[in-house]
Amino acid sequence: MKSVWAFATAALRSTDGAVLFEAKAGARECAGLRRSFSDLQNFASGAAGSRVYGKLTPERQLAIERLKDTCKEFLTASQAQVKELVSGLEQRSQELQTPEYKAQAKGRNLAERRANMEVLLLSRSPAARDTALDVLDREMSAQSPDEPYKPSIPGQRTNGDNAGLAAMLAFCELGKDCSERAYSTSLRCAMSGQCGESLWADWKEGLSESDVLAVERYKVMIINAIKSKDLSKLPVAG
Amino acid sequence: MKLRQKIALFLTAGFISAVLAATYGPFHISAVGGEDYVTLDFRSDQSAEFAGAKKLAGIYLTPLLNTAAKIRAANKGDYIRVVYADGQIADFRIRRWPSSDAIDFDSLMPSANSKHLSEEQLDDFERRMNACSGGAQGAYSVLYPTGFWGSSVTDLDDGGVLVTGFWVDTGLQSYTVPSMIVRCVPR
Repeated sequence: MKSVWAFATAALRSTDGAVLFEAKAGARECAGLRRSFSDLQNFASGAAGSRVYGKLTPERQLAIERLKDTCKEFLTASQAQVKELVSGLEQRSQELQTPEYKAQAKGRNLAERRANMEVLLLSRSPAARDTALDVLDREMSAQSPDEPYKPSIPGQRTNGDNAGLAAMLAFCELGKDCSERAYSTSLRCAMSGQCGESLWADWKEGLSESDVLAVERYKVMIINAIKSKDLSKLPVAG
Repeated sequence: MKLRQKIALFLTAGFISAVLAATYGPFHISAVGGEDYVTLDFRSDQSAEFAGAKKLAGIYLTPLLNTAAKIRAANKGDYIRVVYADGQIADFRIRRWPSSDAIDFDSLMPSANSKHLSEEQLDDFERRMNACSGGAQGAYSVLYPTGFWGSSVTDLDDGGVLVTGFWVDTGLQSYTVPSMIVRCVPR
């Protein structure tokens, strides 16, 4: 796994919005890992008092080692150094007003929201695409944009739920690293014991047959739309 | 209407947008235990970038978000509610899971269980209200489902901890946001 610290430090001199976005996302992740790593380390060593959920397995031990390797410089640097790096990347993006940076703003109307969503979805940064997921989810949920946002209600699935899940799967085929050794996969494995060949290996769990078919259909539509850079192919409302 | 009353209405309107999504908790940060958290209050967590709340979210959300579908549902903007040692209640929006940076601070929740906001916090809101452009807003009602995730913690014989989550449905509630006329105070 690449060193996030080296990538983030180099990105401070970059003028590429996608590189800056990716570097900032990675740096924030490692900064966050720094806060909870003592718990993971205690868990891995079998020390008492760890609040990590579940049983320690060989897969989880390996995942913890991978996380440590990816974020090793963040774990040894001072809090001030970590903060300086993360805020430096934010400041650089703000100064350059990169397309990805500007696209994070909440759109004042439907046209702006869709324009921002397009910038993020078509970015070369997988992290930027992840950021667009919430907006994409709403647009695909077959709701009018003026309707109140539907909350998640346990036990009830909507078209939007299937579309959102489909987008998560699609992003894995569009550049996001969802392999067994990826950061997100390792983190999920280490934190909760849900370990597998890929980040969303369990995606069918809890879904009906019709939901599975809907998710697979939406996934193909999303991949085609983004690969062809034609977002009119997305199943969005209005 | 006095400015402080308008601020109270503003806070209540903020409360509405927060409870339109599902809320996990409330979780008491002082209940996590250990030296790091016993004396934690809202201000100290804020200056540490909400390290306490983020750690707590990691502990309690982990067993609840155990499938891709549940993760997607939570990431759509559900909240985790934290009660601090000093009685203040804060909502954190679930931004991304799995992530070591999974939540973002959203708002302080005024409720019967929390202390009143401090003079400093009221002054801050007053400054923001002073920067407004003014206008009128008619009254309207919203109907929203409410509920929360509770959790129970059991210590296991092998030294581990089992956290069990359960959903408590508190039903549909209606709230009427009153009409408001916002006047700017000249600088």
